Amino acid sequence: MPKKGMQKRSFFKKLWAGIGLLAGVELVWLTLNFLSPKKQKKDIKNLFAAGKIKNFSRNSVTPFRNRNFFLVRLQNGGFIALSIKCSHLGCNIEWDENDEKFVCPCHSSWFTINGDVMHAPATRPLATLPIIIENGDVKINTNVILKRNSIEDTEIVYADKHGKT
Amino acid sequence: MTDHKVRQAKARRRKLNNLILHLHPNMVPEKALKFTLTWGLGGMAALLFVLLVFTGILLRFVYVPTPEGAYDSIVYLKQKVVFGNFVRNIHYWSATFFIVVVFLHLMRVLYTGAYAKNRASNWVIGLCLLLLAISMNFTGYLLPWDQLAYWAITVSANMLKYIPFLGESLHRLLVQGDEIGAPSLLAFYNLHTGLLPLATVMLLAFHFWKIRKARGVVIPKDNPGDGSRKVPVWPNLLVREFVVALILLAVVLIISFSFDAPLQERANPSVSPNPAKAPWYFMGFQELILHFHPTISVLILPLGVLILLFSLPYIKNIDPEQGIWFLSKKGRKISICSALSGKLFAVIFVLLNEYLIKSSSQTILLKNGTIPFIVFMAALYTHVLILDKKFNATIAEILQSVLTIIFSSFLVLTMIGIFFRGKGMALIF
Repeated sequence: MPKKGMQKRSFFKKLWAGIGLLAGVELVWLTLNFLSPKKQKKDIKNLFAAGKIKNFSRNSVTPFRNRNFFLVRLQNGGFIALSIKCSHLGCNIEWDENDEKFVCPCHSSWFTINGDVMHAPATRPLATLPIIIENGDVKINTNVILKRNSIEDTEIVYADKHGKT
Repeated sequence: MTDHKVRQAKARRRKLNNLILHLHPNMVPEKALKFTLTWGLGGMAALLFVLLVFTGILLRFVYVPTPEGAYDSIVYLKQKVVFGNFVRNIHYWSATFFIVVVFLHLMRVLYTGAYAKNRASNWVIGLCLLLLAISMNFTGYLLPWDQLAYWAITVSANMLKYIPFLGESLHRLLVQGDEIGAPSLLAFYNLHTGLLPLATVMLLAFHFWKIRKARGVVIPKDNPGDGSRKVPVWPNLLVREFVVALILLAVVLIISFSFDAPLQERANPSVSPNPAKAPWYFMGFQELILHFHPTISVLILPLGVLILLFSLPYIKNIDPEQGIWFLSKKGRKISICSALSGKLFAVIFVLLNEYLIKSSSQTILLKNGTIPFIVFMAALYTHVLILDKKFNATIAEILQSVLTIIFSSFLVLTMIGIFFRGKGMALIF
């Protein structure tokens, strides 16, 4: 007899503990969801027309500070849009015309024209923004920022789909 | 003494009991009165917190927590509000002193062994209060919405991103978006003037109660000769506390009168200042990031030190001599040597890294600080072994020495970050 009662009691104890745990998890989940920022607008395209292809000479860097990116045209004619935010601690980088490098004013990271790290403390290349070229217009989707861990040529966009123009 | 006088004294004591909310007992050990035992640091921290609450409440009447209104409301406060600038200065300098005093208070408790035994849980509460103090200062740093605030918080918040797996989400949660903006300001304002002070008040009450439960501040053990003499709390202790409070208040007021809290141009998210520095108490981390891989400097090192601090009183066989500075004569010698070597090590490391390792392009492991980090840990381990085997130091003395090395080198890094880093974070002298 007492054994059966004990079993019952321990069963209810476990049940209560389980329900309590569930309620706790729920509360944490709710709080985190309440506090988490609004969803990103990643799916919506926000195309910004930077200008005609011919306006950008080869081996040039054009800043678009209000849109937080640099439009780079490489020597081979390819386009790449680099985020203005330093990959180290998020300061705004600047283009150094004389030395042909991006310089972060905050902690003196340097980057090459295609965003690769030249000088620590940054460890990753600059992030990029997707480019679409339509009818000779260079358009940048400013809602998307693509982080990179290494330099790949896939971010470079050419006016001629077959390669170099 | 006449009956009348006795009655008066009794009445006064009763009133006193109500007034100070049982913070102190009626009688305190004479040894607890010695100023150099505690340096009054805990009391100073409490007074600074009270100052911060009062000036903070005043500031709330003027401040507007939006990117459009914040900066203008501070300018209005400075130019139009009677004593507005002065109140802001008191808030700023009290906050600065608060961090310093709270940190020194931690050091005092560590070096007098007051973290162990029946004070263990209060040590943990105290550490939580330290984290709260830093969080309150950090969230307040953004509120002026000037260039200094905007970029300091940007740089510090971005440090979070280097935490593996969780970093990006933590950063988004803290700044309420991808970068500092209106939602971040609202969140920081809410934390700074609501949740964090509330949590601090509650924990402070707990902290004070635990001190009384442990029978007051830590005091040295009784020698057979002198015994434990007790004296009335009034006037012995209360007058001393009052004097310390008045002196601190005078210092804060004089400094607030003489030096304005910084206010640069309005925040401009498209132009980073050169250099962009984190709040001064995080400059040690920013300096670490210049030398070590970010994962080491923002995750492994701080987490390691925090775990060590929190678990300190619960480490097996830890039994520090309580109420004696540096635990013993041996402990004093070890601590002084550790402090000096920690400082020396930090200076040599920064100079070596700046002028030798970085300029010559060697292996990436040397450049990103992995090898220096391993060397440092190995040196620290050897240090522990030597203290244990050769000097026969106790566990408490060894850990005290390890923490001394860590804190003193971090102090040097902080100083270098604040005073010796100029444009492009280059070393300047």
